[in-house]
Amino acid sequence: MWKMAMRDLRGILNLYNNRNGLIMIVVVIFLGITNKGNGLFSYFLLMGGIISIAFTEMESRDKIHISILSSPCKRSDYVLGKFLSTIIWIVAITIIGLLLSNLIYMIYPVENLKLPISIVKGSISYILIFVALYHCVYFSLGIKFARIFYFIIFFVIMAGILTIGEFLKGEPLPSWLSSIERFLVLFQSNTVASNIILVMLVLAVLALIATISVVIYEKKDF
Amino acid sequence: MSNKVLEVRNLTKEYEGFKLDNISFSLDKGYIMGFIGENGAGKTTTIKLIMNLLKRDEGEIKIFGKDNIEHEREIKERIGFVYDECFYYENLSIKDNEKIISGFYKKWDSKVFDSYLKKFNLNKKQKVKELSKGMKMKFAIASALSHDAEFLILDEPASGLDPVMRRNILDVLQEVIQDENVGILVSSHIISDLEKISDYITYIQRGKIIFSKATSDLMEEYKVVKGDKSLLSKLDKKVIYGLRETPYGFEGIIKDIHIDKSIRQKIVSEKPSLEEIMVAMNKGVRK
Repeated sequence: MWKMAMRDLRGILNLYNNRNGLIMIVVVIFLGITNKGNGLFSYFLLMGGIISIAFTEMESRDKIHISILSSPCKRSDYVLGKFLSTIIWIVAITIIGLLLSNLIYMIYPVENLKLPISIVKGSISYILIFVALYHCVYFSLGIKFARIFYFIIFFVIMAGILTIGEFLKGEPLPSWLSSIERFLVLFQSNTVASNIILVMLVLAVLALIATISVVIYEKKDF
Repeated sequence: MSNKVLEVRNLTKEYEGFKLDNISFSLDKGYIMGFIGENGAGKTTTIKLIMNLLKRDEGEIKIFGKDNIEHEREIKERIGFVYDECFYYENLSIKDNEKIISGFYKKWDSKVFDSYLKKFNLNKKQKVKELSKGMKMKFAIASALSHDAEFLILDEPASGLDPVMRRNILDVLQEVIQDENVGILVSSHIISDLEKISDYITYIQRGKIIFSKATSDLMEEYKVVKGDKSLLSKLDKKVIYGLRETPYGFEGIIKDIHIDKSIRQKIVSEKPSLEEIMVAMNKGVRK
């Protein structure tokens, strides 16, 4: 599983270590600075999620799973490795995003570039779960359904990050999201207990999604 | 210790519209087995079952004497595979792909890989998407041979390649088989290629194994018979495979039967090619 995760990360870095990666970072910084009310950090994390999904799309196009599953790698290792690499990747992107965001705020101290901890917690949880859901659909139903979900997920991520992001900054939540208000307090509160509960909750959801993916993928024919 | 590289017993897999029906065959170390059959006969299905890319319904597959699913990781360390397509990262270079592939194998030897690249005139810096089909196949073969594999599985490695490239690939396989610890299973519908290199031939037709035997025995067992049409009435048509009648005579393939001496003197009997056997078996006998 660890080997698989490292392979994934190496693949992503190999593909995005050129000027494409640089262009994406510049675009994200530009959007982050110019869009009033939207955090640079959220855009950066969104880019991380999209890169992870794009890498899986590319793997599917090249039918990489055939060579991986013909190598000394169990199906469960392949699936769990993908989830593990997603977590490592998103966490890495979060750290870079935080550093970048703080650096830009130091240079250009405007209010919308200020990064509350609730935004960090909310965005990372959101991206992790939605990228995991995308992979669950990919592993269980295949690339066609995953693509359909990708577009749905993309808009959900955008709408979700923006809506929840506003709430986490103190704005009232729209009525259709009011039922999850209590749950979102977890993101706003910065106590050790709430942080631990949040991490456990997100990890539990990821574990559940990964387990479902493994169970279905084990039974698949290629 | 068992000398078997591969043992397939009573293997069954059913899809909608196709059934791999209770097939059995085996391969010993030090030999090349040609796996032949027309398109859709079940060659790729069998190979995918061996590689656990498909889940079997019934039967048993043992590789190096061990179940292919229970000991999957251990077995696959010792298998080199080449498929009819190149399933590697198209946007990455050969070098970057090697870094990724090598991570899976404990015995990966970069020097061996480099030596094959040199032999095949492949540039390590070239992206996979820039390679021709023949070059991609060579890259796949180099990958399959760089981790000390004891069992090579090649599914249609020569399909779509020109004769020179095909010959190159066959030469490599013949070099590899000099190591008596290696067994090779090659599936192809280019029968003439397999005839040159295979020690054993397994013929699959519509999901059933028609025969699995030594190439030399096969050539002895089957005969092409040709003769005047008048002789045909004296022969049992039920034993002639792929019988073809013309206004002047007949032609077909018979299997290991004794023909009456008086008739034998009048008919022409020749050694068949593997392709002739396959085509005749495919046509079957008249009922």
